[in-house]
Amino acid sequence: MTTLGRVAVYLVFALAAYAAVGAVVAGLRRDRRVMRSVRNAFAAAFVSALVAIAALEYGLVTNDYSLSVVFEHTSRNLPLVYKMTSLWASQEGSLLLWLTVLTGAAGIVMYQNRHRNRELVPWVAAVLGGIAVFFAGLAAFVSSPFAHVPGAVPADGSGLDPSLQNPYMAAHPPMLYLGYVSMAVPFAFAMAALITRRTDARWLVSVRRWTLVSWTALGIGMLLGAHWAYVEIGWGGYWAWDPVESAALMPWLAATAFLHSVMVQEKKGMLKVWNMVLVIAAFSLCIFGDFLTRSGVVQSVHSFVQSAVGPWLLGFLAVVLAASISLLIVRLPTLRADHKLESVVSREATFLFNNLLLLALAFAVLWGVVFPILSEAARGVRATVATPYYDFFLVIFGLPLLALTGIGPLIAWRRASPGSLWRTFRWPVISGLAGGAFLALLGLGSSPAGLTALSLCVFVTVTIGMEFARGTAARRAIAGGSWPRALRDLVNRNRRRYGGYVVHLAIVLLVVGVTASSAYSSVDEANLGVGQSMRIDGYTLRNTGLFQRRGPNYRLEYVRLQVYKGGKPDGILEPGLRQYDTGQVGNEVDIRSSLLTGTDLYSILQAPDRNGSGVSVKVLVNPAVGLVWLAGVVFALGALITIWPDPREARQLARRYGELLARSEA
Amino acid sequence: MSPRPRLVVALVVGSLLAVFLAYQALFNSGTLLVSVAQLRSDADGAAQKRVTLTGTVVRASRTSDPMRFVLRDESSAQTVAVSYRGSVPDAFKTSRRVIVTGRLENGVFVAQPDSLLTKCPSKYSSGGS
Amino acid sequence: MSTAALVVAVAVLVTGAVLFVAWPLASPDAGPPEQVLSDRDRRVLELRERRDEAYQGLHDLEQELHTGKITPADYELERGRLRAEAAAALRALDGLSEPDPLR
Repeated sequence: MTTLGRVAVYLVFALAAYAAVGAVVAGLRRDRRVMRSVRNAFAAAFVSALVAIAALEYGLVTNDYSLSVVFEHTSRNLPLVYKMTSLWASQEGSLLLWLTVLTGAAGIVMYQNRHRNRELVPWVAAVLGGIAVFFAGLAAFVSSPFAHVPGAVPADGSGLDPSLQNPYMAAHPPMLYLGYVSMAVPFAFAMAALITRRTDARWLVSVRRWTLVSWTALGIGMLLGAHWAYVEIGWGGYWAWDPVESAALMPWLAATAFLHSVMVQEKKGMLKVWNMVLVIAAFSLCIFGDFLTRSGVVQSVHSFVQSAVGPWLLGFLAVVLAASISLLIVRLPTLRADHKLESVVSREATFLFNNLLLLALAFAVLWGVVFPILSEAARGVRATVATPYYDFFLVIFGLPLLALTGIGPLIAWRRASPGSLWRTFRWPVISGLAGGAFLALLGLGSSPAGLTALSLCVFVTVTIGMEFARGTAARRAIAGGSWPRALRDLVNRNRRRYGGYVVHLAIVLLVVGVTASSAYSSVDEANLGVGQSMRIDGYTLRNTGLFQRRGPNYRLEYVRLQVYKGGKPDGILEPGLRQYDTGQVGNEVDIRSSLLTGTDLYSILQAPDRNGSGVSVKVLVNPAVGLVWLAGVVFALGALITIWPDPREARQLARRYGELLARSEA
Repeated sequence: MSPRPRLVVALVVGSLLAVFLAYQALFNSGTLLVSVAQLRSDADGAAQKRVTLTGTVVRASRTSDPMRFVLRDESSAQTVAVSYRGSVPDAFKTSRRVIVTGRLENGVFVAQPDSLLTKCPSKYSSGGS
Repeated sequence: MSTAALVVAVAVLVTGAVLFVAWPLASPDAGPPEQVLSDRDRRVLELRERRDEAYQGLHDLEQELHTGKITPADYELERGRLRAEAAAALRALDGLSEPDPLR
């Protein structure tokens, strides 16, 4: 079976190479037959990648310890589902996952465009093929998932790290990979547009949904990872500014910028060069993120061992950047703007400022990740960058960004009338100030940044509410009908705008949750013998006993804490520690979430009672942290509304590109 | 772009850059990441200031309070004793590579609470992808 | 997996892929070459985009007036500009739609 898998990987490489070369031939000679053959090659490559995955899964599930990957990441007593998800626990296996998603995406792109974009498609295929060749080459020749264990076949495996034995392992990595890999499609289209000098808005149309898919997947992937860290790793927080977390954040920020500036290009024909730069940046950051994770060059709790793949990825990144930037420079004359920016008080300008802030934040994060490497190269000793650095820039760039989220929708294109500005912003500004004053009275002024953030959230929420209200009223004035129906029609006719507003609401929820749970949280530690209690923030917790329990591959020791709020019993927390049979220790935190306020009472058993002085317990109160997870749900909903196909949009496109492209689209 | 908007955009870019550089100059000295050998040899003043230390655990006693363990350098045989209070990651055990922040005081590395992290050699120590 | 089964599986996989990829190449009818936009077509496309940008701008302008983001005076001003842009694009398109002598 492993031989079949190895053959399948070589086959993917061969098919990708054929596809890349064939696509160039099809593009230069405008040959339809070769193009059909290339399309088939991608489909065959995807099937082949699936076969390789099946072969590796077979090895994982049947405990084939002759394979390094199986030996290093599973053991006989590992539950079946975790044996299966350990496919992407290893560097090599996750490379295979990457390859499968890439060939799958390429196949879908080829299928979607079998009757359109005929001029662009060969070059899209060439770029995607080239990327596939690289990753297939890595899997086939540099870092094979089917490598053998040297020497005799061991009797049992090393086991999977306990922190990976949970359902998040099934969701978080594949979601992130979907995000990273699908960013190759917008990049490929951008390159194809430059190569063919078809820098009209056609490539944007094809690219928008793929960018949305990638952006949504990265966003959900990051939130899944955050939730995993929160409930499983258990230090009380959900984001540690680990380089690998930043690796997903940076392309997400670039993609967010792109999704906004695309609108400016579509409406005003501006920012054409800028959009190209953003797509190149987003894809490059995805590759860079992959490099960070696989190369071991940064200290991270996520990274794989320093493997041979690192230098290759860096080389690939260099080639991607050099080629795409050169191409962009050569094609600069084709990217002239139709209009220019005329007023600072215009929606174009707010989108531009939004972009600048997003990129400034991405750059600050990038610097934080890269600085340790640079300082080591320069001084011999590595300097680290800690949370305060990131928090500073998050606040200083994030708060204006939050303000713009409220300002942008209310400002007209080209030039807002200065006279109408106050009338437009009157209620949101007053609400924001009033909200801020109210929160300050509640004592939230202890954190100025926090108070500002929350006031801005009120401001933004009111502007979004106003947009929905006014839009629905206008719709009702035109078409009559009930309010709910008008609202539904409104959203249906303007999916991008109102889906976008829903996403903005998600961001507001996220900001409230993050602000409340970081700026206004409490934490305390204590050594508690049985019967002793500790107090935190209005709660009292009393140690009512130590217990033990046996699981499939571990022994659990936990302490039962009776919670009291205002003197009355309010539930039980049972934080514990798992001692796995392999010797590792796992942290099992216990969290009580309040549905009403989203506040969590979070308990950690830091050390068991060894010498009679009691167990070491750490408790945190995280206000409103539930909003962070709710934000994820709202985000997905908003993204879905925005991605949803719009027949009206399709008709509009047909009218514009009309019979012209029927020739090149037949 | 018309002249006035262009000026405003340039000012915005300029101030973003200025904020960034100002922060770097004023606040970000960056905590050094040193190995045991570098700590012992006082490379770049490591023995004098707060640093993040990395090494392999050779001996650990979880039961004492504060927790004590000994870290050995990755390439040489030099060791240093560490005194630590706070949360201990799942993957902590002897022969693991760890990272901990603190300062060297009287020959013992006194760690900042909750600053202990582990690195698993050939697999994740936490998290996905 | 027995050697025989392995050989069969590999053979099926590789042969299947090769056949699937080669099949379109073997078809006798090459078909016409892919159409590519001529320079004139590109110019038409560019003008259509400008036309649509102007139309979309007018549509957005109506909404902005209804939701109070611009004053009626500014609305008139901007509407005039956008209509002029649309007209210019339409005129240029008309100019181009003389039958192309090369076709």
